[in-house]
Amino acid sequence: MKYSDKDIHAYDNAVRSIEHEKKGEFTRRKMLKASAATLGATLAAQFVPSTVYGDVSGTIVHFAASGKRLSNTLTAVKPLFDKVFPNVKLEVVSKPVTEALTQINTYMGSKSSAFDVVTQDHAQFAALQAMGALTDLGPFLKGHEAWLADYEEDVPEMYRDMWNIPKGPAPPGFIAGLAPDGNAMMTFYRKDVFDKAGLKPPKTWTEVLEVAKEIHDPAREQYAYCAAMARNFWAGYQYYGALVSWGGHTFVDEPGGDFTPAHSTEEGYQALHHLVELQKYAHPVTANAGEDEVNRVFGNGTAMFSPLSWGTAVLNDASYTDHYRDWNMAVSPKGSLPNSDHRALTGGFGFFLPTWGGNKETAFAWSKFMNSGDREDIGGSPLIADAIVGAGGQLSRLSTLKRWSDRKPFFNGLMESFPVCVNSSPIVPEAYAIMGAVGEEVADAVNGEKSVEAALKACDKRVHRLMEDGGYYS
Amino acid sequence: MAGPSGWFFHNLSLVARQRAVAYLLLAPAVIILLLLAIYPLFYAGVLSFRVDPLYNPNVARFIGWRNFSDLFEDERFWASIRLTLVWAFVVVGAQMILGFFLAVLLDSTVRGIGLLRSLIIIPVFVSPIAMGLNWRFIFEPVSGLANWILSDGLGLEKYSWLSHVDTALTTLMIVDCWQWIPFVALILLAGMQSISPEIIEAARLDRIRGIRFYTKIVLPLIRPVIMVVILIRLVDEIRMFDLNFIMTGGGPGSSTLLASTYDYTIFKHGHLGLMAAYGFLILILINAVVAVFLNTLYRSEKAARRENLN
Repeated sequence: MKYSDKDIHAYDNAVRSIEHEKKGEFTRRKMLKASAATLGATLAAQFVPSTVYGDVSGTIVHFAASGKRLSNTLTAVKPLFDKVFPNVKLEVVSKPVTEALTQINTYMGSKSSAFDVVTQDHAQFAALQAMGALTDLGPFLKGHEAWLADYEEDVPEMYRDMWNIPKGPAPPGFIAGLAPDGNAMMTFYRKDVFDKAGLKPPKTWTEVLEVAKEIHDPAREQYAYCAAMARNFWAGYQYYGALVSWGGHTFVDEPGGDFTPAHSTEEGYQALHHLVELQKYAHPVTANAGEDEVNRVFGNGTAMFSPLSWGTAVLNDASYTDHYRDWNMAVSPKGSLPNSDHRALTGGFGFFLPTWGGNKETAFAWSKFMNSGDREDIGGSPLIADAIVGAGGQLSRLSTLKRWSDRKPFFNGLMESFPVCVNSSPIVPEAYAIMGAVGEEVADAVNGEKSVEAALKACDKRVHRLMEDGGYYS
Repeated sequence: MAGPSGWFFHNLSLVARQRAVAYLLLAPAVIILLLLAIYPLFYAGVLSFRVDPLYNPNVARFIGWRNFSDLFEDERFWASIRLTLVWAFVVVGAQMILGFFLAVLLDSTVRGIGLLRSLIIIPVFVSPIAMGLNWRFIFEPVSGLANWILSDGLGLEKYSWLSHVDTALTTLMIVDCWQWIPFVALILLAGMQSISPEIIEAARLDRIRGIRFYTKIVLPLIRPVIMVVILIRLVDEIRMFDLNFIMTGGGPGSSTLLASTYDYTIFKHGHLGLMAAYGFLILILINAVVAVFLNTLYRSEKAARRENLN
């Protein structure tokens, strides 16, 4: 096996890091600050695989959106994977996240064989299924019963179910993907600022407005609230996060039924009205922010909280923000209507094997490796999860979340939110299109270009057209 | 001159042979054009009459004119067309006026003007994506450079730039003008410098100076250049996408949603048929503007010539 200059450089760094570790200097904080490749090489140097599959060879190409949580985690785990599969060449191809999700659909729509493994957002899986792009992982799981049992025990049921498309029983149902990544919409807040003001994270939408009013101080560049309100799906998810907490649904009779849109309802009104009211206390970027902009103003200390944010573990990352210890997360607020409750939208990215990709066995082995878990007797290792977390990832495995929760309050928020998680969007191929259409109307309402009522009416009209085109009403 | 050999050419007359050679030489260009322009255009035409969701090919079907009627009923569609026309005329107007003043400045003979002429064209060569990202950071509402200069440097109120529905479009216009004014200026400068020295000398002898010199001598003489620049810029601005997409993505709300960006959004949502229909409407819009413009240009040229003859 030949090494590139980059590999050698990473190796040198790894050796240096191990020496530091021997002296007790390679702390978890340093791990969080290391680059993904260096971190991976460092951990690989300590990794002693229980089995080495030298007889498996070939190339696998993995497409993922770029970023700490996505392609970086793959880069970090690659050196460990290389030790177990020394003759497998793993290539990671990444594109900016904003366009990657659409690009994946375009690739799959054209039955591209360019990729063997793809990381995709959960909301797109039903569309991938409609395109015939998903491979059932069930047959590949045979012979890995011990690992599967561990996976089922460690990953919350809601999360495992997300990748069973069409939603069905636990394996041996159609398993469309494995989920090394976990996420939920949560309340993000600056604990230091809240403590100073004698406030607790808000539990209801009424409290959200009160808290926002209390800590909003633009003269000191302390803006109370920030959220991803850019048009399209960003604003769509904000609204849906609020809608479910008020007891609303995308459709009148969800799940299943006749798919009549249900936005012009009391729940819909309350959800959007509160988001519009919150704009009074918003950081200026909120008007057109995606998740990156939100994290940036959270990170630079000018925005103090969000009742609903996907966020990432990045806010607990010492290399990203000076406030990494101050950012805490809690379960999202609930409304005050009869069906209101704390409900967190689930999210997360899963790996799938495109129908037209090659090297399926090896591609599955890589997917499973990214989901290894800590048990060394079944091929896992805590080092694999550490590589993912250290690179900026956020797992759905409770064991890892617990192990890292002292350093990453984000993981505490995830563990608190998992039990009240609901699907981020209906499991239909139209999910993303629905979110995009609704998001446009929500963004218009939040920015004062439309009334709440007009926006909700437009949501119903557009969702109805989408479902009509999908043949749901015939 | 020896003609092409081979059995095919031997049986042809000289005229037919020349024609065959011409077709043969044209063939590569025609094939490329057919493959890369005509076929996609035809395919887009077919697509515009279909529901063809990227996310669910199983429900694809012909739906007649419905994509077009959906667009005509969509208030956001009309808003984006209105905004695009406002954008194009305001931005091109500003670029022409300011570009002309810049050209007048660059037309001087002071020392170092050559270097200045070279430097001033740099914005045109910058990638719109890189430029857009930089400007986005400059206009960041709390910690951006623009507001830092306003508040810390000049003691003024911070401005919302890209983060408010009332100011985002103007901010976008400023950036676009920053990029394209130098281009306009250089083309106009080239036009000014092509004016015959005898005419300039004659104007001086007639004591035509200052504003009158430019309004009575320069502008009429570079009129054809001005018209071409306006045409190029108008078409470019109606098609505006990259800067709009990277700086605001059409937001906040729909306040900067220009036609091409809206069309891209429709694609992003997976509605290929609707996207194609909108694409055709943009094409028609551009052609209409160009046709009206060329017609006006032709008429005014004709009138000017008639005036000269009289």
